[in-house]
Amino acid sequence: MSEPPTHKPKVTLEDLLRLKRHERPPTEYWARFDRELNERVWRALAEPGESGTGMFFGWLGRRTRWLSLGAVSALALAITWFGNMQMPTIVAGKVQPVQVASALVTVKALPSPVINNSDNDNAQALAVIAENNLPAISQPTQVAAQVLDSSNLAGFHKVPAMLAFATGGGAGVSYASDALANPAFSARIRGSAY
Amino acid sequence: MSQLFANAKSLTTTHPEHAVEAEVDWALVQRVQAGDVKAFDQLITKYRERLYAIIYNLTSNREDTSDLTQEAFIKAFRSIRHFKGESSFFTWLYRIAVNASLSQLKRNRLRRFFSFDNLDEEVSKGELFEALTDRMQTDKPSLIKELQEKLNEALQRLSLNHRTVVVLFEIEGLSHQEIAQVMECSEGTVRSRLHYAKQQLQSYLQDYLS
Repeated sequence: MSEPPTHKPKVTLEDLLRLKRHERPPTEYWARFDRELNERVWRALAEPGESGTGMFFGWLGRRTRWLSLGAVSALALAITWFGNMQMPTIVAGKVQPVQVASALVTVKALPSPVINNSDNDNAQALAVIAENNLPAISQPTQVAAQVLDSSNLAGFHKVPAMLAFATGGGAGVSYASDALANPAFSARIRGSAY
Repeated sequence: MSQLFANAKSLTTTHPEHAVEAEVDWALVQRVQAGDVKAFDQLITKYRERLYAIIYNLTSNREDTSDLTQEAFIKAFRSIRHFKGESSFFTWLYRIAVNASLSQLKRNRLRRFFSFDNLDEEVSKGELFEALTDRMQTDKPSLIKELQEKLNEALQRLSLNHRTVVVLFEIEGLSHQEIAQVMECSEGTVRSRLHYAKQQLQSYLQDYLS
C-alpha cells in the first residue's frame, strides 16, 4: 500500500464520487451483454414450470382460451416474422440447444380446428418459436412453423418446431398452448435436425 | 393515466425528469404485460447501464456485475406481471438489482474484491478529470487513479446498507425518497445512513482529501 501524500490534494469526497459516475464499460461491451442476456431471457422462457414459460404464458393464459397440444401439433401456420434473432453456432454432427425467439405474427391460415376458435384470421399476436439450426433469415420473412416433422406448405422454410402461437379473438388475445411447458415436446425440439 | 400510476408518480418522483421516465416506462411495462416481449428489450436498453453502474459500485467486481445485471433483468422479466405500477418501474428494478447484489455480497462476505478497475481512458480525458487534475495542480493522472482506488477500498469498508445509500445518492443521483423506496425503509433512515456513511468515508480518506 502506498504512503499517503505529504500534502493533501485539493479534491473532495464528492469530487471522487462524481468521478465514479463515469466508470462505465466501453460501448462494445454492450453488444456482448445484449447477446448473452437475450439468450438467458429466452432460455428462461423456455424453462418449463413455474420459473419459465409456464409462468409467463400461464399468466397470459388466464385471459385466453388455451388449446391442446394435440391441436397445436396438427397445425401449419404461415407467419410473418418481424423479430431479430441471434442464430446459434452450428457444430457439425451435434444437435444444438434450443434457440428461441419471439415475434409478432400474422396468422394467415389455420387449417385445423383451432381456426374455429378464432374470430379473426389475420390477428396479430405473440408467437414463440424455437429452432436449433434454422438458416439465417432476413426479415420480414415468410416462415412455416409447425410442430410435426415436416411442412408441406410450398415456398416456406421448415422450422423444427412451433411452440406457441396466438390468435386474435375479439378485443382480447388468445394464446395457443405453450408446448415448451411439455417436457416431451421440448425433447422433440432438442432432437430435431434439419 | 390510471389511478395506480398517478399514485406511483406522487409516491416516487422527486426529480421532474423521473416523472416523465416513469410514464414512459409504465407504457412499456403494460406492453410487456400484454405479451409484447420486445417492449422489454427497450427497458433493458434504457436501464442496462444504470443497473450495471449500481451493481458495479456495490460489488467492485466486473465479472459479478455482468452476471448480476443480467440476473436482475431476468428476475424482473419473470416478475413483471406482478408489477402493478404502485411505484415507478425503475425503483422496482433497482430494488431487484440491489437485493441481488446484497445477496451476492452476503454470500461472499469473506471474499475480498481486489479487481478494481482503473478509470477508462475515456474518462481520463473527460472534463471532470481535467478539472480535478488542474485543481490538484498535478499532471499525473495516476494520482487521481490512486485516489479512486482508495475510494473503492473505503466503500468496501462500509456496511452494505451504508454503501448502497452512498451509491444510489452520490453516484446514481436518486433522491432520498427514491432510495427509501428501493431499500424499503424510511427517508429518515436514508438520510441518517447517508450522513454516517459520508462521515466514515471522510474518515477513511482523510489523508487524501482536502
